[in-house]
Amino acid sequence: MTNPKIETPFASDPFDYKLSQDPDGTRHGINPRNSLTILPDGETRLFQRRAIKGVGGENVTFDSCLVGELNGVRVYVKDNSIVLTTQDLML
Amino acid sequence: MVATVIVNEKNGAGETATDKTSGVVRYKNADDANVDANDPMVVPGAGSDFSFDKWLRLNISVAPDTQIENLKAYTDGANGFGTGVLAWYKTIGTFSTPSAPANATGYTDIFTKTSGSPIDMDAINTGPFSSTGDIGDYLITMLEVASTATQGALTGETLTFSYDES
Repeated sequence: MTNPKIETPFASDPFDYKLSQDPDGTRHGINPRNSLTILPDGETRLFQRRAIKGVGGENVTFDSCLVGELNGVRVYVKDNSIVLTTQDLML
Repeated sequence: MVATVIVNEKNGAGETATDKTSGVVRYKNADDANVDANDPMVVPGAGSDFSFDKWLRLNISVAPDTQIENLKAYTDGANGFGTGVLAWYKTIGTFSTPSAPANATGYTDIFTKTSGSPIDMDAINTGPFSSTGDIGDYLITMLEVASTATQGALTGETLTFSYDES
């Protein structure tokens, strides 16, 4: 029996963040519920950390969070939870 | 555009890809991606039975807006296979036809790789990656069944693959 193919669902997630950058370097992560803005006060990064969980088994799940970084300090935003740290956290 | 990333199992001399993002990976004494009871691993009277290597690699099927980087893989850190069953891994940059190793030399216990110390999946084939196609390193995993193992089907174990998208 062939397993049904499951596409990564991030593209169809209405709360997935849209990332953008202004000409002055200000970065934005915006979804319908909230936004994260990083002012260009130093070295900045903004990305989404994605995870495909359960690979090799029958119950794969997908996870994602928004990550902003300013001068090595990171903020991880997932739903209503925010973590501020210098650590490289996995999902 | 939001990227789509899948996990492929690679088999045969031609590197045939099978999407295993949501599919079972069956360790066996053969090089194929079939999830069946053919070519099963056996509990040996002495020593160990080593499975054929399973070659896994991430693939971008829909390209990201900018790039994907920082590829990682990790387990939950707990070997749930039971006594006498070990899971090994190594990473490599270039494909070759999967085979069954004679021992675990050169491999590392995959359950030592957790979210706190994940496997670096783009150390050899480095990113960032912006186009469709295979990305990063091959993750080779292999199962060892020792004579102390209990006969029968095992409860499955799984991996997490992680990447950063922008």
